[in-house]
Amino acid sequence: MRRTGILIAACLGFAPPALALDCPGETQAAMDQCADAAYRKADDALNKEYQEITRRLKDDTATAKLLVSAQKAWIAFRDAECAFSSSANVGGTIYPMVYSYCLERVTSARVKELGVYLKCAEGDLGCPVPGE
Amino acid sequence: MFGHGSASPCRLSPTNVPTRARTGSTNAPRPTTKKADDALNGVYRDITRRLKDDAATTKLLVGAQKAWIQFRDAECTFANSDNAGGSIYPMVYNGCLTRLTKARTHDLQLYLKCSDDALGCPAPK
Repeated sequence: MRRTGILIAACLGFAPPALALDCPGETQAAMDQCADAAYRKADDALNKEYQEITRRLKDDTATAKLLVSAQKAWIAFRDAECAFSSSANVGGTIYPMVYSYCLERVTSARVKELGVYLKCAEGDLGCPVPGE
Repeated sequence: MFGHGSASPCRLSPTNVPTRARTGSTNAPRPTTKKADDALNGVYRDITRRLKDDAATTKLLVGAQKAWIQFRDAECTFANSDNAGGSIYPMVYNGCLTRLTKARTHDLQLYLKCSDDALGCPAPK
């Protein structure tokens, strides 16, 4: 698939957050690498936030345990969602790229959610994480 | 299906959270959550309809939605943990469910809008 393939897909009206990734490339391998790098960047951001939340909950083992459960459940959801999302491309050369796009999209959404917990104010309803 | 508050055998997980609320508080589903659930179920049904001749992809959709429900419930339990045992627990929990359900509905709607030639379009028109 060439670089123009992504533009064509976008012009056909499908504009999911995943296609907001800027991954031009002359080869499929280059585009795969780009999409994978974008996912890993989101995953790194997620891990940093998760570690910070865990640190803030170090004196609250009950809530820390609930965080672990929620994150495990999210991982299972991420994988199931991306298996569904990229199912039409299985066996095709673009499959790894499509799968990475999905991982990046779902992970970025999780980064936003955890970011809210890091910023919420004490006394806010549904704010399980203490401030810094 | 995957709804809330009804006795449907298709309901996969309870969205009424048992509480230690005072007498007079209710576990009844809140209108905002029911409305959000109905919207989600509608979109989900539309995707399922498109996939009626594709059992393999339908199975993946079901798997993803079941996993989302588990995640939703675990996330809202975490988000609400500092209200545990309080009378506001159901309200805050249901608020969380509504928020996540609306986000899920938005994401599923993207699958209804994408075109055949697009990337990551498992249920084209």
